[in-house]
Amino acid sequence: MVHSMRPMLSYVLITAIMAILAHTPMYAAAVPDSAEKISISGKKLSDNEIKRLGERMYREGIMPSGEPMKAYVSGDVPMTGSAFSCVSCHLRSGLGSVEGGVVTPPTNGRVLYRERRPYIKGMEFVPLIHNYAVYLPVRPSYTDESLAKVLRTGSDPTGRMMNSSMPRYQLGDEDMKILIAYLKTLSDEPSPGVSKTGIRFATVITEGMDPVAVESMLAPIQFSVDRKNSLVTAARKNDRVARMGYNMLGGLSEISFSLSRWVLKGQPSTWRQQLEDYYRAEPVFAILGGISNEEWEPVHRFCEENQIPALIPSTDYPVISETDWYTLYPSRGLRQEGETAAGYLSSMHKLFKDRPVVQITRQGRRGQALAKGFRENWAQAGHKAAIEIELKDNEVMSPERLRQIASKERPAAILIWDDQASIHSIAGIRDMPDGPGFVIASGTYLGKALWTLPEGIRDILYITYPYRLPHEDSRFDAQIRKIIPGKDLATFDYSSLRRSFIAGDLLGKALMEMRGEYYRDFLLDTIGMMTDMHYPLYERVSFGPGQRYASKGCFIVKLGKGDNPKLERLSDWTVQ
Amino acid sequence: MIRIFLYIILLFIPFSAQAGDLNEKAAEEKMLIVTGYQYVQGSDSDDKEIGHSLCGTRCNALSANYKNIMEPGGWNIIRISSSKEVLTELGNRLISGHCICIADEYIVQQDDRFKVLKNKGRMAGRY
Repeated sequence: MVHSMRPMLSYVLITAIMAILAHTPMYAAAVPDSAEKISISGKKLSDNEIKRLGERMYREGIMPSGEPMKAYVSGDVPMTGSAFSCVSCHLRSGLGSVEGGVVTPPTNGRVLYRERRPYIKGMEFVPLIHNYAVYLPVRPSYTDESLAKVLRTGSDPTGRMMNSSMPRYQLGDEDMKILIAYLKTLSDEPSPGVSKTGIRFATVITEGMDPVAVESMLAPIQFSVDRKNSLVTAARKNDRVARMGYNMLGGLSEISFSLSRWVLKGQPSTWRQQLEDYYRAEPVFAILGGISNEEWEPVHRFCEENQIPALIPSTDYPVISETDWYTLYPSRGLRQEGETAAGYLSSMHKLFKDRPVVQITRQGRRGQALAKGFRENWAQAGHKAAIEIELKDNEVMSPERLRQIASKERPAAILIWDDQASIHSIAGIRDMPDGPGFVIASGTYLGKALWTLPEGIRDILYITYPYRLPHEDSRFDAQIRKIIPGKDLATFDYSSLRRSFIAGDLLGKALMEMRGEYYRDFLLDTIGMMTDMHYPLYERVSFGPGQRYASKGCFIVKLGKGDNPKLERLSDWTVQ
Repeated sequence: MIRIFLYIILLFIPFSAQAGDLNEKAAEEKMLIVTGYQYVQGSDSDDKEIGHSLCGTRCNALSANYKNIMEPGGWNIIRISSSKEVLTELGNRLISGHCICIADEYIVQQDDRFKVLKNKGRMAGRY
């Protein structure tokens, strides 16, 4: 019995020691500089030019000549680099990925040019940065020559062959030098806002916000920061806590967090300068949460240009982009509801029999965002443009006017992007024999008025609702209460509190997985690798490499009967 | 004899009322997981294909996402009937008829299997 236990104990001991050692951040920079300047067609390239061209090769698979990089996969299958670029597996940070059982090791110079040696003499495998259950074989450090060889032939410095899914790139000497020079810059210098003892964060608050919404946004992220710092304090005072923290979090257990509040005043056009001033005074690693009921674009642009990750800002007007990288929004905002309405009606379009769609929009930001979402997706689906009616300030849609519109245009569907002022007009078309089949409004625009809609219109009003239904979401309240101890949940703003909860939780999970590699791109890469999660507020929150809108769906619902009505689903979680 | 009988009934009234409350509470917490659906035309002019598609959307909408119950923790679901037929009116001017949704029905209960009973030294639960 004793004999049979020994190998097991040794195994546990060795694994534990390896795990502890593996937590040590890898800061040793032993990347050799390129000895000679790189030139193309006899013209020497500047460092910035080399970085730009290398970045294009790495991210887009385009060579300095503008041609796609040529490669072979699985032995002899020709591919172009643009279809199989480095970034798709090694990710933007170059620190690699683990997906579907395929392990992609780091490809940044700092890791490549260091020997992958065992933590314990005689071991042949070393745990991967992301996942200590995954092991990579030991190898000597790469040189420029051996790196060029592995990229061309798949043979590493030990003679082992890479997985057949790793493309073998057909690159000339100069192109190879440019790519290698770029790999040396990937995740090399520590990101701003990070030191050996602390990581700085900030949140952005725009002037004039409802104080309850601001407090609701701040509470969860401040809680996350305070909880982390209390562990650091406890670890300094108590060795057992320190050991426990180290086993759980590695080097992160000794790092304190700080959260600054960047308050933006005045017109949105002046925000950029204010943000620059704040950032110059205190560079931060990332922006957490943030809140604005107006623009978010100046903050978005600032983050994009300074390469600062921004996690889950509470805004209804996110910047919609397929290529921007640094801001991770909770959803596509109000626009997403318009898009959902278009998708829903599009699936019923056969019923319309050439009858048009009428879109009634309140002048202003909210209405425009909803209308734009509908308009673009409706056109994309190949349908005839809706008849547009704009409501000016103080103009209210009366039941009589809506009846006139319905009689004249004979629409199959009417969308009303306004608050309760115009929603009551639906009573005017309720009993029309040939009235529209669908009347759609926005749950977000209606706000609290949603719950007091008159009984007479509840049956015919379809409502876009981009959240989990409240009676189902209430089961998640226990999680939220943990971060606002002793406070009444009802006194907080519903969506700001929950969005911010997601930001705090997401950050914690990502930092734990980053294992000492606190690089901004790696933070976003790590979040992109996370599996779907079940958070409060949204029915489904999903991430993927490069995805920037966490919740992608919306329900179509109607309000039930009675004084204390529930929302009833008319569609499942529709993802556009 | 009758008097004693009445006394006994009076004694049990509060308990039966409480039991009634519990049943009512349990009755509120029901959910469906839809496994199939079909469209029944209201008239011959109704488009069968679009009706079927609409019924798919409507019936799926009746289905609860069980992860909304299981993920937060502390809740459990127990199946109480299977392949139950649920009628859903389309309630639309452009198409008449109704949907028959086939669903498994569940009740939602607080998951107290691992709750330690006070002074009993054992765990509660349904084993």
